[in-house]
Amino acid sequence: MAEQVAEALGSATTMTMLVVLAATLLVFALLKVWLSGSKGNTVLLVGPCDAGKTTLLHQLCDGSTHLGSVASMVPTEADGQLASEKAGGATSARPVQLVDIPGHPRVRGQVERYAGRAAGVVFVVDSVDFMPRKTEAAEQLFEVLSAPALARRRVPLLLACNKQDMGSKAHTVDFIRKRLEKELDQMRSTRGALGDVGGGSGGGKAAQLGLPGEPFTFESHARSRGVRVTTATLSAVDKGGVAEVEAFIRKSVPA
Amino acid sequence: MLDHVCVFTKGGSLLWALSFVALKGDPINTLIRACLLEDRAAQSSFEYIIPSGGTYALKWSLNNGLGLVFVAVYQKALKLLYVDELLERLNRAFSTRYSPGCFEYPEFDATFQRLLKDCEQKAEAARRPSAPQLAPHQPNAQQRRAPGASSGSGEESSEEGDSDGTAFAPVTTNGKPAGSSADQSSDDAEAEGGAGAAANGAEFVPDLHKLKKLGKRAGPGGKTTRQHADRAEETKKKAAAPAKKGKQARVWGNIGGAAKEDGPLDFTDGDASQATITTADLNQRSLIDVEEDVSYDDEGTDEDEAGAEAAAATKKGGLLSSFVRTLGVNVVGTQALTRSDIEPALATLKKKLMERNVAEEIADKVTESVATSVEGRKLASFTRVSTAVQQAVEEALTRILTPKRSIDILREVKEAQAKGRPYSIVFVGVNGVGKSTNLAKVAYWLLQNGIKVMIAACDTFRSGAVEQLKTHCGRLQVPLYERGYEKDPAKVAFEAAKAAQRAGIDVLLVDTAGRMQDNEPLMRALSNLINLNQPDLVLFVGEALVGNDAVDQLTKFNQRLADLCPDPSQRHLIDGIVLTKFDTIDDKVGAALSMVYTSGAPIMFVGCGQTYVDLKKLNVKSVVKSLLK
Ligand SMILES: Nc1nc2c(ncn2[C@@H]2O[C@H](COP(=O)(O)OP(=O)(O)OP(=O)(O)O)[C@@H](O)[C@H]2O)c(=O)[nH]1
Ligand SMILES: [Mg+2]
Repeated sequence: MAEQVAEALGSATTMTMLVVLAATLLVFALLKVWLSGSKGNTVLLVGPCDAGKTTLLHQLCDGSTHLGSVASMVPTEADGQLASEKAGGATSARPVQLVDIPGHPRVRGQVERYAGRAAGVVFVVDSVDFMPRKTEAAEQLFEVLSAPALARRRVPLLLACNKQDMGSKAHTVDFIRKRLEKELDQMRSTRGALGDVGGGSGGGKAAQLGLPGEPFTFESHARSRGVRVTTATLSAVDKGGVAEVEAFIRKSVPA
Repeated sequence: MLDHVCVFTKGGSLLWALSFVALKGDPINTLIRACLLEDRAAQSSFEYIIPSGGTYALKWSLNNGLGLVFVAVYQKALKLLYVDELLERLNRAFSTRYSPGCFEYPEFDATFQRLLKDCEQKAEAARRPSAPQLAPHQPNAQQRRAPGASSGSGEESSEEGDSDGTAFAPVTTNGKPAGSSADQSSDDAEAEGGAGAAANGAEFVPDLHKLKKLGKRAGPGGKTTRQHADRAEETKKKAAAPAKKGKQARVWGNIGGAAKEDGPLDFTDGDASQATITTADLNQRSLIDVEEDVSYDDEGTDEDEAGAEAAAATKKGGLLSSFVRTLGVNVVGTQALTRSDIEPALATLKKKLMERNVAEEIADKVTESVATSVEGRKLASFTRVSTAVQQAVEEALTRILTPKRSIDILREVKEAQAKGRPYSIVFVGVNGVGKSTNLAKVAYWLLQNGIKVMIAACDTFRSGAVEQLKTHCGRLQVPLYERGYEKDPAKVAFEAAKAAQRAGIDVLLVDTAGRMQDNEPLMRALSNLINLNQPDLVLFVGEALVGNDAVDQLTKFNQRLADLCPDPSQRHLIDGIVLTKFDTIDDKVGAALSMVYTSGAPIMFVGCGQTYVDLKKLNVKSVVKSLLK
């Protein structure tokens, strides 16, 4: 009997020691991730369906859109040199990992899986078909901006307005930015007005957007939350159309 | 005739496509979004209504190991019978050529054309009721009956070789499997070549290398190659040009497979002996063709070696892996999961889901869908099969429960507000599920968010219904629109909407009578109410306690709403679900899954208590956790 108790105690102490050890290791690992912050080399491509993320991925990686694309079902991870740098002979540049996350509402939550190691986020929207789907785009942008793992590490975001090759059919970057700011402003008051059943167990508290007192703008968000949000024109189907996105990627993942 | 065939990755990169007719609309993306991503992939075909009229049928095949999807599109009216087989063979043939970094496969066109022709001819042959077609089915390819070389049964033997590969694994002296029919994953062309040769020869035709070296002795009867070359030349001249073209891309298919190729050489209707002789000749000709072109030979050898390796691996791994498999642990980490590997884990999961009150039908469909997405996957080393399956189920459940429609009602209300019209929500459901109570909770929540609410009493059927709402309205200090009983609820709702507009109300909540899904007159009345008023949101209120019945209720509600709508373009089905009495069910959260999967509508609110404040959103993660714990 006593022996059993002793044994139980013994195993309990071993357990405690193990737990402590594991905890220290975990703390170190976390610290490392935390401190290295934007030192990771992963850049996420997110945005609604048909925005052109997969097309952009191919253009960035291979300098070609190949045969084209269909709706994505799973995220694609691509590691390597940017095509333009490869062509330019800058092979010493730091490799980049790009992750194309499908826009379908049922799977776009996978962003969470990659958020922890993201050094930058490219949010792609379709400038041509923007108006009918602006709410969908805004909702998704809201989710990305309020994702704790991104906000905490102040991961910069680029709003890339794609399909700018379509001339007057495409809305301007400024127009799109303003519409999205307005939508986001409204969503701040409507989202999260209802609690969850089962208790909020979703990877930490959602981050706030902008300053509560003033209307939401990317500028005020950057000022108050320290998350750099910039805009860019994009034409994923053209080799020359991805320059601004490439510049953003290089800024997020220094060579 | 097919309209379109394509191959793409699950990541969304198109790898290969062939259009016979330009596609109308966007059937491929619709298939992906409305079926493959909805965990309905266990169904075998998908219909796409072409906007300009007509319907496409889409079929698909998955290669989960490589993450590839193969899709065929054709006019639904055609009822093509060979599509499944074609896709399977396309899957096999393409998969051996696939290399992850490569996104263009122009050379695959020819291979596909051959597969297609083959499948079409086989289907055609099966339809023609002539005697040779009904020739004895060969139970075992090793029997190799000479007359079997006619296109119909020759093909059959090749299929045989494919399906029970291990039974048919002749190994030549140099240790290579001759013709790689034994290798299931091998290129279709090889499989055919091997089996075709088997069907032809009295002696077994060894692998390509050997043939080349032997040169002079090959094929039945020990005739010299030279003689055959002469005859082959003749035949070649007679043969139709397209046949020649088709052959260029073929490697193994050249051995003995040529008989299937073209019309003039199709002796399926001739007598058996004639067919044998001619086919033998064709066989020889093919060999010569191979000798002529070294590069094909090389390619063939490569594939052959690959086949040999695979076969060897299967042989070696056989005992050990079958033992390991019984433990349910994948040690080697290279073997693709088969259906029988995952079956036990699936059964456990199905049982678990049903214990959590998921309707059996839904549990079946979900596990089946998971099966189609896991089969063929390769596991990482030391991963338990059950872990992999569990993970796949978790992902699937999360996908299913994640709303694809915005559930931010407040935002929609604000939009309507900006347009100066009231936003209307109709609550429907069977009796006694808590419609009125939860309607009151929603009213309370809206009020808290500074929104002006009005309630319309459109349950003009059950006595006491109006009084019940009156009490709520009194407590919440909300205006009630009522016209007593025995009135047409559709009209009451209509008038209420007008009154709300006049009073500057933001949201109109419409309470309706509870009705059983089979009550025809009441279902008509409901459909009428919805069609007349075109509400912004139709919410189905259902109890979290229900099991199998939830599916029936939702299906029938949606069905009746769809059928009874006079104008299909205006039809309004259930937009969202209010799950009530969630506090009474513990971990039996299965109804949430059943309802969402059945209707495709998200759970907008969860009622979880007796007071006004007990209204919440569904937390997908925690529901998935409860379902699987
Ligand atoms: N004109 C034009 N079309 C583009 C451009 N970029 C993409 N597209 C087209 O937009 C469509 C959708 O592109 P995808 O890259 O598949 O979109 P996605 O964002 O990956 O979509 P999901 O995978 O569904 O999330 C394709 O037909 C592209 O050809 C562009 O810069 N200009
Ligand atoms: Mg994509």
